[in-house]
Amino acid sequence: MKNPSGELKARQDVIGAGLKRIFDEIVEEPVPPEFLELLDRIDRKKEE
Amino acid sequence: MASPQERNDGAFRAEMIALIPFLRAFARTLAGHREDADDLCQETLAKAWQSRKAYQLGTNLKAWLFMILRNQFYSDRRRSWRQQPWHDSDAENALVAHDNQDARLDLTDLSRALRLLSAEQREVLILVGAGGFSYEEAAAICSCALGTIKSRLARARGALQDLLDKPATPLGRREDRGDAVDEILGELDRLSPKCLRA
Repeated sequence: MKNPSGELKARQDVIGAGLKRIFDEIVEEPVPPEFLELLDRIDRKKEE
Repeated sequence: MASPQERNDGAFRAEMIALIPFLRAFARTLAGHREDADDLCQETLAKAWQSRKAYQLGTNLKAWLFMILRNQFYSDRRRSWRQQPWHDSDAENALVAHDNQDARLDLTDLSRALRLLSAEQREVLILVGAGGFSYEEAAAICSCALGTIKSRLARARGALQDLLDKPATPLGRREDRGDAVDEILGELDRLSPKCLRA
């Protein structure tokens, strides 16, 4: 016999794992150099 | 020899750099488009640096940065008065391309379904479901009550599941009415004087 709440939980777990993968794959992308350049620019501005 | 302030600034900077990938991921799920998300992220970093004296070293910098990013996102969105229209091809540019045919859940469908949720629903799903934040931290980031986060999360999960369970709904396309509204708002935005857009 099917357990609807168990199936729902299983489905939610799959969706949760999918969301985590989407997030993690972006986290693993290399950071574009513009980001560090921005921080360097801010640092230089501070020194001026 | 470095002053205590310089040492604090150095530690703050290093910690902020380490968190850039997480900020980019959160920004991408909120803003959708890679370029918009990276602009949002850079604005966040600049603001965080300017306000660094308000941050207490040793507390939760990740939550603090996420809160700044979120506030910036909603502030930009209110100012622009419109959202970018969503096109089928954006799924590949916006989040990440997925070609793993063995996955039990098609992540491209999931990415598209996520984009159809409201920003409030997306953010809570990502903060709690993927970002590793507790309900309490998510409530602090979103400046709302714990109960609001829990109910918003339950509704977001239900809405996402409904979207994924409806094969007849062409995911990745907005309803015609939504597209028409976006086009009109976009046109008004283009025609309005710059001073009204600032």
